[in-house]
Amino acid sequence: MIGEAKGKYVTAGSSRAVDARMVFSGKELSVVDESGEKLVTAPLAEVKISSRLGSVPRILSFPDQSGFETRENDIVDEWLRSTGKPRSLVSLLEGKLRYALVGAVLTVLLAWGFVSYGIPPLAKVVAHQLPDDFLDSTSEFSLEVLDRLVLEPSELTEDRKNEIGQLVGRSFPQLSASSYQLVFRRGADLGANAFALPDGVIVFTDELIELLESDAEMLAVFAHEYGHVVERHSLRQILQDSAITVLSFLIIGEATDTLQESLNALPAVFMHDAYSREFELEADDYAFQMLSEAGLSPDSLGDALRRLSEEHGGDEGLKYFSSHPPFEDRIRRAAEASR
Amino acid sequence: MENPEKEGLVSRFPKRKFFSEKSNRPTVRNLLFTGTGSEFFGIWIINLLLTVCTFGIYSAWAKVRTINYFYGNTSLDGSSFSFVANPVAILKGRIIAFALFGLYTYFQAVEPVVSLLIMLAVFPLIPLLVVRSMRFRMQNTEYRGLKFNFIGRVGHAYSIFFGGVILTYISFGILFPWWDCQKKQYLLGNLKYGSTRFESFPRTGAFYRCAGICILMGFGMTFLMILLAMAAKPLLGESGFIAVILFLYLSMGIMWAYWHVCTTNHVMESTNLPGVSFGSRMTTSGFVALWVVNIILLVFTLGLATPWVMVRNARYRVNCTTVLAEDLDSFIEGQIERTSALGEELGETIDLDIGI
Repeated sequence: MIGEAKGKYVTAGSSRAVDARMVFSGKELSVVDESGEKLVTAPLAEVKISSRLGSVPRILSFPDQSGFETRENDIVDEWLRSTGKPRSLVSLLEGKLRYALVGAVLTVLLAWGFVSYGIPPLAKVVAHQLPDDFLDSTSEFSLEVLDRLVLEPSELTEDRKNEIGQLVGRSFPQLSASSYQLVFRRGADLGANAFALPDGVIVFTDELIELLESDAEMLAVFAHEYGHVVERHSLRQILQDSAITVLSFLIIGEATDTLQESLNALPAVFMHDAYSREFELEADDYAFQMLSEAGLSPDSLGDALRRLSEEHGGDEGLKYFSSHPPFEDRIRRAAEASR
Repeated sequence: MENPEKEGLVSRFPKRKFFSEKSNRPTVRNLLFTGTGSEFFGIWIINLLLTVCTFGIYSAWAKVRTINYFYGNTSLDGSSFSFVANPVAILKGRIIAFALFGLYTYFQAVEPVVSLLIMLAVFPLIPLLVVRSMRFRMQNTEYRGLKFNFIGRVGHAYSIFFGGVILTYISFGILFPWWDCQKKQYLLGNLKYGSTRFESFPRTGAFYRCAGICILMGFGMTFLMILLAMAAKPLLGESGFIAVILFLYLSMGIMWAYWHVCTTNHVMESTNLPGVSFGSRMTTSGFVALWVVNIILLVFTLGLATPWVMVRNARYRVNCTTVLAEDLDSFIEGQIERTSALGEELGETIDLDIGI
């Protein structure tokens, strides 16, 4: 067999290393020292050979526990190939720059595809498999916590509250009374707002009711919030955020120092808002359908959003760092849906 | 303890039976790092790709290949290091650690009390995890066919990582340099190469000296910052505030770098194997320059420069280290009780930073 590999021979059980060379007979590997004396011989099949990793030296372990280290990777690969053991696919991929570049593009595409089109449907399936009352005890989203932290008791009269409740019941007769619970609070710092809790509690703030000018707008906002409940957005958000955290750990987590570790949290923060924007659009779509079925125009959600956008002073900050899509987009979608 | 460094070199040499023809004078051995960023980029990106394609399963193999790239490219006296861990063992540890982490994250959202209980259950295990993870790492590290090992006792780890930490807190950090010194002595002094044990006798006084200079630097920087703030306010207005914040980060970075460099150099120099001693010539300016360039590289490439950064770190570390050995040939194999990868993987999941 052509070629010999120069390297170092290490005796079994000690750290004694001597300069030596390795030759291959076609069947057997032998290590020969500088004076030509044979130090060890073994059939290639019985020698454990470390896998190729760039230009990292190969370590060949003989059955008698002695070892041979060589940098002549290509010669070792050729010997292996001649006995029918081709170079591993992984090491081939790693070694070629063009493969690495293709790999880089593929990795980015795959990660992006999985994050945008893989995780959300998976989370949706899982969320709908879990029991109805799964998130009911979640303290993070409980009304109690909100009452203590931000909300104040509603100043609406009981008559007004009942009137709104009856309006919703009358307009959407298909909804069972147990699937939601309409609650009124003074928004204080939150101002005109409405939100849904995972257990079906839908909160309207007094400020919102003052702001909205028609029953249809009120129903539109209700339908949007009811969409969040039916589509289980809170649960899906939790599932998707956890999936991102695990994924980013897998990808970035290999890096061992503190600086890079702090980058781990970024994708989850970034994607949290992206997913949240998707959920808002989904809830809007749900509302459009509910409104149409009730014989109302989806554009009434557009009207409500327009008032809210004026109230809150339009959009602030960057599109990619917001939990809600821009008002203009949502108003435009409402107009399109009502056509 | 009277000057242990010299003792290690002179009086503790084991009697040499063979190779007596060689000179007994310690000589500087070649310690080289030969990895390159471009070569490692290929390995790194394929690791990422296969990890994503296999839903994380390949990450265990990726870890072994990554460590091996850095070990294999570090050569001492013509022989390189190698990492021989079985990826399947790492995968098993990883699955358990991830399951636990998954439960923790899940309960954090659903029932925070349970996630707190999980944390309380894992917390007392930290010293044990340190020991297990050191053992796994060392038992799978080879040089010239001999394995390293870690033989620190678990009880000792508890006294350092619990007892020592509590003392550090109740002393308002005054005992921190003492604790750091104890910790490093424990981690390094319990290493074995083959059957030969490392000796590590870092001096607490040296750690306090490093800390003292760090504090003086802190005072100096605070003084400079006040001057800067006063000067920047009329000149730059609002953006002057940002300049002051940047300066604050930079000065904290410099202080941390000084502490790291000062203690690491000392610890390396006070650690030896019988017949082998180490030197470390890291400098604060070199270390800060390394990190500033690293951060710039990472930010401007959105993390794609990670392989180059990892190679730069490894090269700097190896280039600053010297090995002075009388003879590297006569170490012999030692007994090893195998350790599973669970400790290492759990430790990694909870962000255990052993940091030697």
